[in-house]
Amino acid sequence: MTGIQKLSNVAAIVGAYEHPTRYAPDKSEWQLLGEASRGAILDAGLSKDHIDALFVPATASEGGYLGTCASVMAADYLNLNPKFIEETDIGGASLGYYVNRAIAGIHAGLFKCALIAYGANTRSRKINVGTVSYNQLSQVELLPIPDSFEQIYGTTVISFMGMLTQRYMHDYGVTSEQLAAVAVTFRQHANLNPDAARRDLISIEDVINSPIIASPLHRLDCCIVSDGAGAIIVADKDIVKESAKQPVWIRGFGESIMHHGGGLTDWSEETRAMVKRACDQAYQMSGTTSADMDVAQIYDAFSYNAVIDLEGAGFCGPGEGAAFSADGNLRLEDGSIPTNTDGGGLSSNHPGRRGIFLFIEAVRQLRGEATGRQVKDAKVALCTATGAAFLARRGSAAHILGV
Amino acid sequence: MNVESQESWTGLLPTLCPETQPFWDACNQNKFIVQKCQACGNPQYHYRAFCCHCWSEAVEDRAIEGTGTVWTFSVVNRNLTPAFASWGRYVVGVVEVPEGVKIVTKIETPDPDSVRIGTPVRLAFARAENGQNIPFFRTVS
Ligand SMILES: [Zn+2]
Repeated sequence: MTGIQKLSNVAAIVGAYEHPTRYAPDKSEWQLLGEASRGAILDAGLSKDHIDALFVPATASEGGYLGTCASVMAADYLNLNPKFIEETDIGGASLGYYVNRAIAGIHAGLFKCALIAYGANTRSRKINVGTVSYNQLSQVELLPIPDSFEQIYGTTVISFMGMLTQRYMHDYGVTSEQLAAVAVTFRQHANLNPDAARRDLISIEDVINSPIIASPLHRLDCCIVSDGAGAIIVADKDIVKESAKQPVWIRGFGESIMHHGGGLTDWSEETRAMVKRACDQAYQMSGTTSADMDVAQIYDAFSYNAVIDLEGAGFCGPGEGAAFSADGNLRLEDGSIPTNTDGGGLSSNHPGRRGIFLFIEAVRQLRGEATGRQVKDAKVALCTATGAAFLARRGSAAHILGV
Repeated sequence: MNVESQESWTGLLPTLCPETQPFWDACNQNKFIVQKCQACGNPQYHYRAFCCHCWSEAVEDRAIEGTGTVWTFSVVNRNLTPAFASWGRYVVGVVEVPEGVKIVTKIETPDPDSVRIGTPVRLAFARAENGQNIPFFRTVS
């Protein structure tokens, strides 16, 4: 094998655990992280002593407050002695970036068994993630560059996603009703997930009639805010042999970023192009196409994210993602690509950095453990995530998992 | 230039630094600088000490004409940050100017619901208590 294909099947997810909590005012973020880490290593049938690499998200304004040098501090708390630590910050997509770096490190022979873990109690801390100015959320003064050119104008997280959604709807004639189908479908899936934060079924009208937070986004177009934690174990072939459950191989991965390009970038078109670059690398590495996918887990911080990722991943053409959703293609029981089978960030779990849960739900589906919401004979899964710094500085990760 | 600076700016103030001081000084003369690179010919915004496209230091400060159109926008119904409490419902957006860049800004309008992508806007300035002029755009009636 040549080129990036040599990175296919270098590592597998051997353990995965999603903490069942969505509200944990009685637990520290450290404890949530610890419980998720223990859950994942127990699921793998391994012990803490196998772990020789640690990846945890940097302290984040939108969820997760382990303080400075979070990865070293987490190693201290968990009393691990990893050979390799990482806390690259790409917002909610960070967890996907850790999988990429874990595979690179395993391929290079630097370590064999990586713990990727996340915990946050964003809900019980009552953090207004979407509805304050970004500098208030991050609790820092405005930087001269670029904040002082942008945040003085009252930009919030939801308004910047609103701006992206607005342009997309304009360019392709997409309606709010079509976008609303995303939230409606994922709620149907959450209804089948006993751990999901919101399980009551909703209608298109419910979404449209929910208050507009920042146009064109209604409250139900936006993810929930939960407490939560999750962890996965990414391991090499030797560790796979020692592990207890069916390994879920990482067939391919990709990543790509975008930014303002000195004021020249078309934020809307570049968003899709970024997702496509990440997905194309993952497809190329794994020798697959979108047609090979049995199930998809897409980071849905907002309904728009799911739609644009469906387009970038090639399930439909540019501008068709919302209609594709409205036509039922994402539905668990009869959709062409069942998506966010756990209910996603819109309905199940979103403590701020949801990326870890994409992998956990994909693992459940591929192992046949998604009781009550199992996609029949699921063998190949796509995970995509886009995280943001602020405005259109963003990064996407894409992964193809298989059994 | 046909701009106004009578209005008072409320809300957050920019943090200044030597690199961006020329931009904010120009604002105080009712000028909005979009730089143009003498080496590669590309425009850039926000302000920098060099051209981000080719890393040349030969960037020229040019005041824009002040016209533009709304490239995208969002009507903000909820911003709980105290600094914006007096703004009520307001419009943030990205304005495309003929000088070739997109500018994140506030779009002032008598009717937030009337703003559309493509709506023509014009540069304006408001004066903060510390004397600093803050640029923004206003819908053309
Ligand atoms: Zn240049």
